[in-house]
Amino acid sequence: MKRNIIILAAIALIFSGCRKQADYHPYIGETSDLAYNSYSSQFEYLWKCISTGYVFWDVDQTDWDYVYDEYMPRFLALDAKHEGGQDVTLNDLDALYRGVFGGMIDHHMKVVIKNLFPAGTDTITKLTVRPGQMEVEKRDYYIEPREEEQSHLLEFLSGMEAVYDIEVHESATAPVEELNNTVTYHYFLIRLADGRKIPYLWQSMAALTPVLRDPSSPAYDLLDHWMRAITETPREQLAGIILDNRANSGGYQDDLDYLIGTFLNEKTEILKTRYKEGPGRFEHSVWTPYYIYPQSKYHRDITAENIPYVIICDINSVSMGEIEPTTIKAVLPTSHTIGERTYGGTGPLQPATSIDLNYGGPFGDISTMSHYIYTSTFESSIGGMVHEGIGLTPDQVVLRKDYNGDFKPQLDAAIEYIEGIR
Amino acid sequence: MKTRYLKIIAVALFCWITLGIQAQTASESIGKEVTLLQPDFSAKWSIGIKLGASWTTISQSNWGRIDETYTSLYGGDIGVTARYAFTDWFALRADLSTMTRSYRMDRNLNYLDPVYTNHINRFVMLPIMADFSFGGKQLQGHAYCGGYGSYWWWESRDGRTYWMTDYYVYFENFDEDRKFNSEDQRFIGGVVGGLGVSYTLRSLSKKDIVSLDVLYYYDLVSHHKSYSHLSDPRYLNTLTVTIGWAFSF
Repeated sequence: MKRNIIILAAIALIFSGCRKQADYHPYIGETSDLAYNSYSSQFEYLWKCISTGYVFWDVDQTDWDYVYDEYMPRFLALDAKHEGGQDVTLNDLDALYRGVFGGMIDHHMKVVIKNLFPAGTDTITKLTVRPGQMEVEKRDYYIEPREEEQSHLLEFLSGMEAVYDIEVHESATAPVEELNNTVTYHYFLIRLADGRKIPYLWQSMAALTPVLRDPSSPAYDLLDHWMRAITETPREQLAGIILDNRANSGGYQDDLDYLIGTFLNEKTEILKTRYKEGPGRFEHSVWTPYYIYPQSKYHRDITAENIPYVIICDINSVSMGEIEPTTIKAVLPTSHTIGERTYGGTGPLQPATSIDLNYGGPFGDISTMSHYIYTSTFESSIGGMVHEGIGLTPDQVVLRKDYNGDFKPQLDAAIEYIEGIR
Repeated sequence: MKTRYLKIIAVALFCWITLGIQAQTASESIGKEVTLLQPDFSAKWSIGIKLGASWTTISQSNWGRIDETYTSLYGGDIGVTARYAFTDWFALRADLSTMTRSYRMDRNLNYLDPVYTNHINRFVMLPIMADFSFGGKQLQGHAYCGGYGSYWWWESRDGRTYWMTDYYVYFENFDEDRKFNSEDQRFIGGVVGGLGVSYTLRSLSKKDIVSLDVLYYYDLVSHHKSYSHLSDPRYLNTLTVTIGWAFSF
């Protein structure tokens, strides 16, 4: 019997070594470039970080293992080129990383890579790949990038008073530290032929919250006036509301407290989010409801009063710029969206400093390391659908390209829709 | 995969050889010639049921992980047993049971430490074990060793998660079934071993056997599939304590 027990123990010891060992998983908060020192090891590091941290593997069709098989030999070839004394140019790297990341569905994604061994002929040493922008530029209604559209739209807005009957026009700019940007706001109180009014707002980014929390902000009065025009104008004088989200590059999630919460009577689920809770590609948390509560400062039941709420959006409405119309449409019955299918970047993000929040989100730091990847921290589902890479198709499609890029037809369509509702 | 099969065959050979040595020793002690594994008395079947508790831990790599800690959870094990005694000291036993193999994950990041998840996994287990018994006619001790196959039947998870706005973190309780995906390996297996004690009841027809077994299940197949360039295996380890009743004939 003793011999049998010894044999059994030996068998157990043999089998204790039968389990496979895990491959090295990099920690995406790695702050040292010691993580890699060659083009191939840099690619491998980034490939593993995306394998474990990318939040969209359930909707992204990219075969990430095929990407490894296809591109690792090419990065090894770059190493051989460098070790052979030849320059590896930024163009060499750019071509490869466009292939690696160019098909990803994350429309927030921005990949910034520094050439580890800059070529003497290169005047810049960093490349940037934006897979979302690469896809959007292929759409047949694409005209121009957001920055150019914003400047053209501002020209249009500056000429509004010559084209429409404007009772009030206010404009302001406000620095918003968390967005690392200065935001521009325009408020128009448009007067219809029958005397009724439409409070209209355009902002370059979704930044109501930092302003309305700070009465000393240069844009506080403008936004307060817009909110009060919506909530305090008597029904017979208020024709409807226009929120213009064209070329809006996104910003604060809490803006929904004002854009939706103002019109709610009870706590309402507007979307669901989930995040990566482990390194497996499909290792997600549960879908968690995101609630909006009725606003305490401004309130009006536009549903009961049948007040139309029109949101204009276009191809350059991204992030909160498109989540706003999508969620408004999902929960407010009198809402109506006009314009173009939006950009498709709907995954909420936290800054790269929130590295330990969950397994997803931005990582790296191009000032101290050789990579920075901006990618979504959460996945969102609105109305049961993940809109990432797709965007919102508005209720009423009006394409700028059909009007030589003119902004007026989309606004005219919004006013015409409101005029038809009494 | 081939290496694993070779090792399973090696274990089978070990057991075969072990049994042969025992059979040979037994034959020498009674002065009869026997061939390997042929019993020298009437073999006995016993069929029974078992019921008990389980404690499970998870073995996985900590590389690249954030701040989670994993701890064991209690579960249950309920099923039927079948035992065929070749000799008075060796039998083969097979169980078919549903076993809960559960564990808990806790976040430890300061403002997210309310977040946790209980992973409640139900498996259908089929252990097949050699049963070496010793002791008297009524009260016997048992040493088990063998292997098992199992099917990951379903998983539910409950706990607390979070969602965020720009200024606030909110927590939300949840309790729902988890949908399996392509990363889940649902057929797994491993080795099992342990000790037990049984008592044949005198007051009844001498055919009722009550037992107490402590078994340890050690996965050899990861329930999380690996990718071709990134392997992240995860294994469950489960200790069960069960009481059983069997009818022998």
